[in-house]
Amino acid sequence: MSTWNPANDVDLLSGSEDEEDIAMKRDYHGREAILFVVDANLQTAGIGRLMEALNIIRTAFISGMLVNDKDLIGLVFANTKHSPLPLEASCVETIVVPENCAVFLPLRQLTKPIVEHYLEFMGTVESQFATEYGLVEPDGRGKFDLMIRLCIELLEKCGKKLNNAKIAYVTDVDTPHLPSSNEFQAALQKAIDLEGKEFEFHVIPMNDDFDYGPFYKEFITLSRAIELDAFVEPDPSLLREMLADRKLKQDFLRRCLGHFAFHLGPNLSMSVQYYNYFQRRALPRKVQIMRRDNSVVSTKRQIIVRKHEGEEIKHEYQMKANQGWYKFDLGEKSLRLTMTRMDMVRNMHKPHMQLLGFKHRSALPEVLYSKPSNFMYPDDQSIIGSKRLFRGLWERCLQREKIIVCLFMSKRKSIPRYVVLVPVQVDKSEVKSYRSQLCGDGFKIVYLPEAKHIRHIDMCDWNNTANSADDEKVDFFQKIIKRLRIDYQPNLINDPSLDYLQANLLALSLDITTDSKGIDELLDTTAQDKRIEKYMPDYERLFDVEAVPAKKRPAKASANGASSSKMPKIDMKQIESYEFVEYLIAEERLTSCTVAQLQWILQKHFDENLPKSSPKDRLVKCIVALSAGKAGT
Amino acid sequence: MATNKECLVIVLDVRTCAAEDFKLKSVKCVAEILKDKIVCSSKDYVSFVLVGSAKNTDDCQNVIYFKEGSVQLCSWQLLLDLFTFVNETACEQGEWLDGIKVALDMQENALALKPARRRILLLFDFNSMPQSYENFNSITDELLNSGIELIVGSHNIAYIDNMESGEPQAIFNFSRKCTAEELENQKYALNLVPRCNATLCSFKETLQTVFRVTNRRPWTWNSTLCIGSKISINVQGMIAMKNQTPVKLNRVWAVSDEEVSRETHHFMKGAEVTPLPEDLMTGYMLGGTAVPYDDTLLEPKAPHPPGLHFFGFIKRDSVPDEYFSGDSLYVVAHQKGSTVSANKLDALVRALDSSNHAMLCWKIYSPKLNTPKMVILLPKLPDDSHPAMLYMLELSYTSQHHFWDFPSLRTTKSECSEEQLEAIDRLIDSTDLECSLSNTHQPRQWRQNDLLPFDSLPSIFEQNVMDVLERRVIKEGSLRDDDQQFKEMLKDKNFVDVFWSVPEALEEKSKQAASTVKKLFPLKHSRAWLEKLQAKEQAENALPIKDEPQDKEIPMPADGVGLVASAQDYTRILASIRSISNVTRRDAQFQTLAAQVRVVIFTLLERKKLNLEQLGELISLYRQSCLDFNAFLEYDKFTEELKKIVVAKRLQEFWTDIMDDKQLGPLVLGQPTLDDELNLKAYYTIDWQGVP
Repeated sequence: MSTWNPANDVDLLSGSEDEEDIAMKRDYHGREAILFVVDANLQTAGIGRLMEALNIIRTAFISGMLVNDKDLIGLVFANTKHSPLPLEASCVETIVVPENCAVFLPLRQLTKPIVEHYLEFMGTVESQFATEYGLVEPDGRGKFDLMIRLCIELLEKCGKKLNNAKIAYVTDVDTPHLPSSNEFQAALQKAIDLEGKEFEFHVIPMNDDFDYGPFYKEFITLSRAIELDAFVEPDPSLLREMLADRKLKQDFLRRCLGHFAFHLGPNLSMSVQYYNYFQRRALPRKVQIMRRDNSVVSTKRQIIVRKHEGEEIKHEYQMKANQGWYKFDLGEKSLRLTMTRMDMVRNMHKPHMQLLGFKHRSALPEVLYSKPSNFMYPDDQSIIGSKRLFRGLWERCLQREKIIVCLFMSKRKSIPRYVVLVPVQVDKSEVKSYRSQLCGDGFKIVYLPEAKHIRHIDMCDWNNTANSADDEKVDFFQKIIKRLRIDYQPNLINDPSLDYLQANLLALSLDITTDSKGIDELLDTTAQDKRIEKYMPDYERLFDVEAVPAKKRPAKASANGASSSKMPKIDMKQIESYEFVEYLIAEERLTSCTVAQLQWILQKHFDENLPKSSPKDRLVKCIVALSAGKAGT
Repeated sequence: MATNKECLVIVLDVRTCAAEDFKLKSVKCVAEILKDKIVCSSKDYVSFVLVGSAKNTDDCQNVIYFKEGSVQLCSWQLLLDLFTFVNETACEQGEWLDGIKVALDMQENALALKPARRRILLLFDFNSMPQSYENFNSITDELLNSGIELIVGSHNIAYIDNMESGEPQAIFNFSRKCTAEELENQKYALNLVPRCNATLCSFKETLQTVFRVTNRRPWTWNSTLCIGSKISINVQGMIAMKNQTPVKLNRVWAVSDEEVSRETHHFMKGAEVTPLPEDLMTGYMLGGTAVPYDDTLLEPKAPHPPGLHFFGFIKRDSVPDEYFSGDSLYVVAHQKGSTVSANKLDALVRALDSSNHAMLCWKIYSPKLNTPKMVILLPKLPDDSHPAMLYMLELSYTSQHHFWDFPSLRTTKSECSEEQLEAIDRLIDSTDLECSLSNTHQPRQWRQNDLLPFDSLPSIFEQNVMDVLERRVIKEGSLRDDDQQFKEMLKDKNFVDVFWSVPEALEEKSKQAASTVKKLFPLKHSRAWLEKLQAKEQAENALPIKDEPQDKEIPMPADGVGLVASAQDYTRILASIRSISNVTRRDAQFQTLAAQVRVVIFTLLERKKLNLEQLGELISLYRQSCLDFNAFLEYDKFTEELKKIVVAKRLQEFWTDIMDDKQLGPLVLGQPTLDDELNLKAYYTIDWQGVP
């Protein structure tokens, strides 16, 4: 039994609003698949380059296993001389493997044995790859269209429903076929096939001077059904880095959170789609397993309603979570509002966005936060012509520094939210930085807090003229900032608790030790201390020693229910100094002392003894009077 | 325990001379305040005073208070009581100062409840009815001295920007001619502002002002901010914005005498198993392999020290705000009363701001909630209202980030013509929320020079929920309450569309601009897409029915068929029986129900005055269900018995009007044969003369 108490189940009504519910739901209907294709040409520039590619795939395998356990992953070699069969030879029986291609791993959900097999294979590559797989003769150019056909076949016959299939082609040859050749045309035909089947194609160049121009620009734009001049050339080294994290630049067409109509006025709407900048924190899936044989036990939580009559159970039935109702009282009478009706209230509108007006960019406060922002991009599929209208609006807003205020209902049963659309664009000068990966041209959707989400705090108890620091103190912190500056890179910050868990899992299952830094190391301050060592004397000179903060009475321990004894708010050591007592008098904080402390002050600093039973205010008055007298003399 | 509960006394104008529209609006305004307090289950106290009633209190004429003058906790009952209270007999006379005097007395009495905030809301029509202002000074002084806040709401209120301060200021709208008395009344109302810091506002602003409360003692997270091991600042974190609704509704699954529990059930390959707790252990899925991972086997580690641990200073704009995560925005201030920390924080904030830097820290909340989280701290320079502070926001980790591949928007295909761009410009200009109000010296109807200020956006869903609940409470007692009616109510109520449009002031212009845009941009719905969408919807809808027919079962109601609403009871129970998927169980349940309904029918026939309609309905329902459940024999037996009783009790009227007229006799399978017809005729015919 949990500590859950249904009688006090306070529903905050926000339960249904979850950005990624749609994405999750879709995932339920199919899996994601990545098929890696490694070009055997990589071995010509030295086995090192091939090993580098295989190493990237290794990290991709491992990180994939750790995070998305249901994904399918496969590996194929292209442009090989021989076609050795995979370990489970039977699984390619129904597939025609063309010449110069070798299937190493058909699409499979990764398991421990598969990864072990791959690691074993990697150990033999240096000595055996050239003889076992080789390179197609004479020029290392196998047929590109046949390779794509094999990939399509593998994806189609993987035996699982797919919702997102990607082919990642790792190569260093930028011209597999010359533009004038027949093979080039055949390859382009396959690109159209890819588009029709909604399979994504990515090329991962292993060399930095890769030229997309002669072949891939056309191939990729065709496979994604975008215009040739919309192609943005990615940076190869960034792509490799991302792939190791098992990330590919996501195809905008298939990975959105939802499509909706954006109403600009009566009868005027365009279709758009929206995306998230980052996903929910994904931890490895936690399961319950049987101790004896490691078999997985799935658990379900059920709501059971029982009626007792004396000892006997009169009836018992299971309730679904949405079968309950909201209870509210009218005098003695208790009324109900069923979940179905609440859903009707939620569903009064279709998902859409309504224009409310425009404001200047400066109207948006610098720091305003309600929930993570999203990205919006036009969608020409539902309303044809949306892209042009979207571009017009976007360009004018960019140029005139305008933002758009809208009301946005992102999906069914969600809560309508006020949002601001801020036009953003890719800065061409930043292609090499992570910022170019963030998104593209479009609108950023910033969610605005409702009036009730903003807490108004009256800071008058914090305000004090003595708060402000002089220039010397500001200078001191300027110096500290200079010494402890770092350059922000997103990959600088990893989730320490996730790293720790993953390192432990890898060590337990595959015996791989990773050099994951524990959080203790992250919290280690020795390096920081060393860098700012020479300013420390300044610090001690400029700032007084912090008064020990008043201890609070510890909260009532729920176990015994009794309140604990009163803790003195003022430290005994502090009142030993008369200066501190004077300070307390000036601040009118003598009442914070306990009676015993006040008695002690009278005795120590003023040589006065009042009867033990004297009330507190009398003690305080006495001290104030005596201190005034002392100051007078 | 310090609470932030408030005590609010609302003074309403019910004089017959006050504008009808004004009175309606003010009751609506009070209802909104009450509704908000009810659904947020606040502990605030309220009460009401009427000015202009025919009755009097002890010392004030034409003023009465609500229920003995004591303040009340908010409840739906109170809302209904208010609606009756405002309909007390009214008269011409009534002094608003008397109303405030009575309200002040009530506040005085409520002091025993120790409210943190005391407010009086006066909703008054300052019309030409003369008022006496003898006590004006003494009452305003009393307000000022007791620290009670006064909010005055009225109509005819407009706003202008103050010449000196530039702040918005409320005035009376002079657009129409006023009598001298009216001007006099308005003068005193305006005078309240300088006399006792009252807030004068229009109805819409009144609500905003009542809801907008500042908190002197917010919840704080006490902590230290450390840079290296030497520099430490005592700080307090406070929530500045949080995406959290204040509405609290109790969700229940069972009636009071039933017990609800949430239980964990275990399944292996679809079959339920009941393993002992010691047989189970935790593991993680590594691809398709489950790896045992026993937390207890790992060395238990000492918790990390709580606080903000410095990580690095970064350029302010190097972290994109797209990566901000979490559900709240915090502000971090120095520990209250600690001047040393205030000094340090002030210096740090100024240094960060002038060098355009921000700060990354690991946040460890407490020894219990010990997971480190990366946060970014942004400087917020001090001003008159607050000391130097830092904004604190959580950051997402690199493993969460998406990298997108969006094609460039500027392509030749999506190029717009000059004319098209001009149309868009016109749309932008005609829907501008700020510019149309550029002439700030003209009185305007809203406080801020902005049609949709970002700090007072309504909560649409919560408003809808409140309205629905209110409707339910008012309608309580009316007979019909089904989903259909509920749907109609949602449709008829115009709250659906009230928020979903361009502000009224701009509507017409914006509409025209949009139609020009529409003319210039060819837009067409794609048929292929619509078809795809429909196919997808169908596929999704078809799936779950096949999957889990079990869950469709409606739980059996605990009660049986009663004598009052027998037909309704019967239909209801029958529906839940029909939903049982197990055939044997379903038939057995039906037998029980049938036996029950037969007893009910016979009992009803015992009555001296028969309710023919009820009997007819019930018998025909029973007959129909017997047909559905193939219970022919049973029904035949029932009809025989029925006939015996009818004959014995000579229920001629029942027999001819109900049984014969509605043809409720024995059931016939398939097309009736000649024999069947004859049998039926024999059944319906009773020779009443022959009955003894």
